Amino acid sequence: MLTCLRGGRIIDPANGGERVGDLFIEGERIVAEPLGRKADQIYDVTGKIVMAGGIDIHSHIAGGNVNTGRLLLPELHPGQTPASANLPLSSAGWSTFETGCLYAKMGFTTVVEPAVSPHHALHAHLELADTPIIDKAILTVLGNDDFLLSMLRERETPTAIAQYVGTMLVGTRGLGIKCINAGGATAFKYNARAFSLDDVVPHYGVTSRTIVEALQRAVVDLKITHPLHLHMNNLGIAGNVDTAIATIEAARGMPLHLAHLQFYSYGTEGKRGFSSAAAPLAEAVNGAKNITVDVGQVMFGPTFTVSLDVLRQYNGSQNARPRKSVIFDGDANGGGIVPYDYRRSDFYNAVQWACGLELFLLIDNPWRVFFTTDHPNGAPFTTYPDLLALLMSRDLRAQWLAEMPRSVAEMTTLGSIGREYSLQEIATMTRAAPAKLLGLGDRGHLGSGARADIAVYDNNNDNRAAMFRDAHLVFKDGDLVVRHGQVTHYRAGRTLESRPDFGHAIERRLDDYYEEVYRAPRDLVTIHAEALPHADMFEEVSLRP
Amino acid sequence: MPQSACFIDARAVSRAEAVRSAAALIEASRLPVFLVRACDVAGARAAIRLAERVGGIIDHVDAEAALRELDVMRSFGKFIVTPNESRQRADTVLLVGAGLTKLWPEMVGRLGLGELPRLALQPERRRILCLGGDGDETSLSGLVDQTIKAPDEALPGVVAALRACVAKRRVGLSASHKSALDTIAEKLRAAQYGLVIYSPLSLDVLAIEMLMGLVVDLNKTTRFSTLSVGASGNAETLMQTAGWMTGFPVRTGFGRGFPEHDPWRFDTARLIESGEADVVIWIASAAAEPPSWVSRCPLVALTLPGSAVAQAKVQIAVGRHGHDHDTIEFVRDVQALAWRAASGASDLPSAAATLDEIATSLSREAA
Repeated sequence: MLTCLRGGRIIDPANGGERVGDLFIEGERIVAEPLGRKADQIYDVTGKIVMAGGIDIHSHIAGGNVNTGRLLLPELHPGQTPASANLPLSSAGWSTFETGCLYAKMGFTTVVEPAVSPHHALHAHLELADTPIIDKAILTVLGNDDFLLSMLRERETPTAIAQYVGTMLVGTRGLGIKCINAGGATAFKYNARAFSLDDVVPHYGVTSRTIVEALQRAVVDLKITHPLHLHMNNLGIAGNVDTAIATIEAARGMPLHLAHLQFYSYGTEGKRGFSSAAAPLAEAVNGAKNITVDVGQVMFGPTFTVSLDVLRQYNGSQNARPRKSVIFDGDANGGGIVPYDYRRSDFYNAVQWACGLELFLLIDNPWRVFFTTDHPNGAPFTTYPDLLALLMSRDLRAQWLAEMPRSVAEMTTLGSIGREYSLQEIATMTRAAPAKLLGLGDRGHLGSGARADIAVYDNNNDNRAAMFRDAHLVFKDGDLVVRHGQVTHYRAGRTLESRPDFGHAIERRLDDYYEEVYRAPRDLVTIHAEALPHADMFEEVSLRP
Repeated sequence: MPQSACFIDARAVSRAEAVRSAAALIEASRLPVFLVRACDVAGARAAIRLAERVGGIIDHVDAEAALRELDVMRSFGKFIVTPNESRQRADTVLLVGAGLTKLWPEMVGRLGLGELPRLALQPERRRILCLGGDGDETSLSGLVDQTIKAPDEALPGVVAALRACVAKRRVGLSASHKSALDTIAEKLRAAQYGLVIYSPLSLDVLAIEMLMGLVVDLNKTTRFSTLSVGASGNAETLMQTAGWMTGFPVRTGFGRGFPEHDPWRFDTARLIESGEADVVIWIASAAAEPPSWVSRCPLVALTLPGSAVAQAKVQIAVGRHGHDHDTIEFVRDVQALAWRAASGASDLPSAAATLDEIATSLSREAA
C-alpha cells in the first residue's frame, strides 16, 4: 500500500534540512515519490511539522532496578482511568505498556535502556518485550565485574579484554557497552564512600581511569558503533566539574559518550558552596570533538532515582524524599533506588535545573548533545514536551527563572543566554544525531529507504509543549499507531543489538569461571531468544566499517 | 496427552471441552480470582493478561510473607545482597530466627559458610552468629561462633536490644544478657562486610524493620546487607512480572478497568469467606494441593497430571515448568529472573498456553 503525507513541512536535518512537500510510505519504508502511481491513502498534513520518529538514547525504562522502583513507590502511580479493550494495561501507571504508549504519543519510536547488568539482562529483555510499539535496545554494563577487574590486574591483552567484552555484549544482546562509576560500585563493597578517577579499587589495584580506558579501547576494537557510554565518578557532588573535565582529557581523543552531564556540572561557589559550572564544562565539550554527551535535565516534581552507581545512591539515600530507599549489592553490579522530589523552591534543585539548560544552550553543536532527563533520575520522560518548549523560548525560561530563589540566577549564567533552539536543531538532537550515534542508518531521517517511523505535529508556535505532548499522527514501520495524540493499537517493537565478531578463546574460560564463582552455567548471561515472548524481536545493527 | 488428564466434575473430558467449560465459568463470574501456587514468568504473564481482561484479581498463596517483605521496603527501605556476592565477601554472618537452614536446606553450601570469602581483602574464617532459635541448626554445627537463644516471639525485643547495643545506647537488660549482646555488637561493628539472614516467616513487619534499622546503623561505618529466606521464590516470580505489567505486586484487582493494589481487599481467603469471589482459578505448574478453604468456591484447577483435585469443577493438566518445558523464574542465588532448560521436555501444554487457550475461548463481550 502506498501512503502519502501531503503538504507537510518536512524537517529532516540528515537530508539537507527542510522542505514543504509530500512524503511517501510503502510498507515499512519511506520511498521516493513513485512515478505514475496514485497513493492508496492520503493524509493531508498541510501546515504541520513532519519529523522522523524520536530516538531517546538514555532512559531507564526496564529491568530489575526499575521494577524495584515501581514496587517501592505504589503511591506515585495510582491508576485512574480504565484502559480501552485493545490497549490492555496501557493505563497502568509506570507499567511497560504505559511506557510504550506514552513514548509513542510524543512521537518517539526508539528508546535505549542504558543500564543493564549482565545477570539482569533477561529481566530487562522480558520487560522490553512487554513494552509495545517502540523499538528498544539495552546497553550492557561492565566495569565493576570481578572478571574484568581481574583481567586488568593481571594486565591481560587488549585482545583478550575485547573478547570478554564482546562475549558479554553478544550474550546479553546489547547494543553497546556502558560503564557506571568504573570500579566505584566494587569499591563501595569494600566500604569506600567516595571514588574518583585515579582512586584504586581495593583487591584489584586498578584505577577507574584504567578501567575506562580498557573498555573504550575494547569498544573501538570490536567496531561497536556506539562509543563507550560512561557514567563518570562523583555524580551529584559540588565541585565535580573537575572530574568531568579530567575524564574528557583522559579520553585522549578516543570516542566517548558522557551520560547525564548535568549531574557533573557543579562548582563550589556561593555561600552554600554549590554553583553552576556548566559554562566551562560546555566549553570543554565544545573543544573535544571525540566527546558526545546527553544532558540528564532536571525538571520539577516527584520521581525516583535509579542507578547501578550504588556508592552514589547510598550517599544520596540520606536525602531521599520520601525517606526510604533500596540499596542492592548485586552480582558485580547491583543498584540503588532512591525516591526524590525536585522542588522549584529548593536552591540546589533549581541550580541543577539551570545547569542542564546551560549545557543544552552552550554546547554549540546539536549533533553532540543529546536530549535526555536520564528518566526517571532528572525527571520522568513525560516532561520532554515542557523541556523542548524551554529550549525553544528564552522568554519561557525567564518566566520559570523568575519563580525560583533569586540566588539561583546569581549562581548560573542561564539568564544571560539568548539562544533558542530551532525545529531544525530539535530534529537534529532528537532524531538525526541519535541515529548516527547508535549506528541506526535507517532511522532518524526521512530519506527514501528509511524505516517509516514518522511523527507529525501541529505547528503550535504559542504552545510548543502541547505540540510535542500529543503528536497529530505517528507511524511506526509505516503503521499508523497514534492519531490526534491517542494510541490506536499495539504492535510489538523490536530490540536492537550489536553482534561484533571476535575470537572465542575466552568462552571456555568464562564457562569455567561461571561454574566456579557463580556455581551456575553461563546461561546466566546468555539470552535465549526463544525463551522470550517474541523470539523474532531482535534486529542486528551494523558495526563500524 | 492422555484424555484423562482433564476433568469436569471429576468426569474425564477432552482438553477442548475442559477449556471451554473453564472459559464459560470465568465469563459468567462477577469476580474471578486467579490464585497462583506455582508458575513461571510465562504463566504469570498469561494469568495477569487474562485477569485484566475479565476484571479479575491476581493473588499468590504465599502473598502474605512476600507482602510482609514488601511492606518493610515500601515503608522503610531495604538493604539486599545476592547469595553469590555474600559468599564471596561476607566475613561476618548474623542469622536471626529459628529454622533458617530448614527453610533453605542448601544455605550453608550456597553461602559458603564453611569456606573463606574469596574477595575479602584478608580472607579469614567467617564469623557466624546466631540470634534466636534454640541452637538446633545442626547443619551449622562447628561453624557457629556465638549463639543467643530466644524463642521467635522474643525476637523483636532481642533485635531492638542488639540495635541499641550496636549504637551504644542504654538498654534495660541484665548484665549477663547485655554482655552477650555487647559481644555480638562488637563483632558486627568489626565486620568488613556483614550479612544478616532472616525469614519473614518468623519475624513480623516491625521486627524486620528493626533489623533493617540495625543494618542502616552498621552501614554508617562498615558494609552490611541482608538476605531474606523463606518467602517463596515463586511469589517473587509473580511479583516481579506483576510489577512491570501493572506497576503493582500481587493482590491486585482489575475490576475498575485499571490495576488497583490492596492487600486486604484482594486477599483470596477473605474474598472467598465473604462470598465476593465466585470462581477461583488455581494455577500450579508444580506439585501442589490447593488449601482446603479454596474449595468453598467453584474451582478451575490448572495442575500437574495425576494430582486429582477432588473439589475442582474443572481440572486441566498442565506441564511442570522447568521439567516439561523451558522456564524463566526468580532464582534466589542471583536475586534475578533466570532461564532453565526443560529437564524432561514433553508435549504437555504449559499453564501459560492453557490460560491463553481459555482467553481465546472467551466470547468477545468478556473483553
